[in-house]
Amino acid sequence: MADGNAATKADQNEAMYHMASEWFVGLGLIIDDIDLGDAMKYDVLRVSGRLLERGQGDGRTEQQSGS
Amino acid sequence: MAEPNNNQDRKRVLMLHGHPVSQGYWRGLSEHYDLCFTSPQATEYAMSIGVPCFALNGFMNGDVQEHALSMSAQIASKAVQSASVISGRLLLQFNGSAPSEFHSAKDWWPGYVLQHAQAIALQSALLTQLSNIREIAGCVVHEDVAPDTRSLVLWCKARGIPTIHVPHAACHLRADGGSDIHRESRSDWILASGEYERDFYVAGGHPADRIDIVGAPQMDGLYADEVLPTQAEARRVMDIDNERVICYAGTWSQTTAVRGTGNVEMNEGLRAVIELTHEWQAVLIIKSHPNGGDDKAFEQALRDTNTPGLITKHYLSYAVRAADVLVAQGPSNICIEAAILGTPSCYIQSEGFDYAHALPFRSSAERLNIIAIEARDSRGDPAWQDFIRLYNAAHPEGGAVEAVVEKVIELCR
Repeated sequence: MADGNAATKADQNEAMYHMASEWFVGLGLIIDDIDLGDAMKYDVLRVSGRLLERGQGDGRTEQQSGS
Repeated sequence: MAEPNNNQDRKRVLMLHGHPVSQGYWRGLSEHYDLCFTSPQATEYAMSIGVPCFALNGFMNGDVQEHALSMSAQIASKAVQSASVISGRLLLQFNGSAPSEFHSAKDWWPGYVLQHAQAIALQSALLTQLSNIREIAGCVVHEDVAPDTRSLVLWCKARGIPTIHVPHAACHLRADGGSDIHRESRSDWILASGEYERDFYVAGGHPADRIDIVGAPQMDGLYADEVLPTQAEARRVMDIDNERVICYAGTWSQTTAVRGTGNVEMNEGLRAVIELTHEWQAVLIIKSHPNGGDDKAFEQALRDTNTPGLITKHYLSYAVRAADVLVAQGPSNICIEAAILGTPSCYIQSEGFDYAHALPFRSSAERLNIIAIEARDSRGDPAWQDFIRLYNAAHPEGGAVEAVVEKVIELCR
């Protein structure tokens, strides 16, 4: 899943997404009814994405968000 | 502005993040609610343009700080205990190909959790303090994926306070583009810009009866044609005296997905646009994103290739109106804005993303010279009106801001 071609980039994204969804499950990191696993998912994706890209060279992702 | 002191002047409180993209409906909402921003900078800016509001952090006191510190300390303690579990899950997920950092989660995981826990615990404590004093009618967010906005939504939902998501932009991830956080929404309601956005969130699992179409409020300003430049005026102001002008929207940053070929794709796109500029003997306007883009690299590319052009992060209406055609790197939302302004567009495709309409014209970088001509020659084609309406139901009049305000009032009764 790490050879850098187009198909595997999508696979990586899928894996990161599911990883971020599962990271906090069962850890009980709850603040005032806010599940940190849910609240931090977007940032977890950013961090894991950066780590993967740094480890694999050309993986910088530039897409169209407007965010 | 401080929170209103006189009880008679007080309305119910509406929570907002304060991202600039939501600015259009601040004033209208402020006529019905006391607006409370989670972003201090937004509070200052809103006040500077005469929108009455107050900042959530104005409710800070010793008890709030103590609660937030205690909560985040407890969470960090749990993170220390869970570090080895997290490390194991990361390695398992990536089946031997995980980066080295994933092997040492115990070294960074607790600090990472603590940093976010502090921010979220503080926001939660401030919201509790506010709710002890004032009635919170609802919250409106421009997205509900980032930690601050999502935790605001989660806090409100846990207390039965209506939460409304007015998406700041359409996401053009194709149905076959895989899982992605942008398909999710945690809010009770979504106020969608058009049929496309409604269908996108329904496909992502949001109940259809919890989505209302209101138009794209962030695009209302593009319908104020009396204050927008003509093509001739835009070229005059930008000091362009040339028959052909190309506008290139080259940078949109999104760091939560890994698709395509990254820098390689970006460089190929820029190279193709520069070649097109020379082929047409045109002037190139590079419109980089206000929040990103390496303008120095663009400048160097123009210099290295002796390409006549200019680079700007701002003045979208001038950059787009001056152009015969807009070329976007990927299916950027600027294509919709350009169509509203009357400028046809095409885009260089990227893995997993596309518009759901036959327009704009699209291809790989290699075929840009073909689709750019098709796009240029399509100026005035009625099909562009269909394209705009799919993404902005308020077209052709605008007026989405009023629709948002009306809907928020209805949902936050």
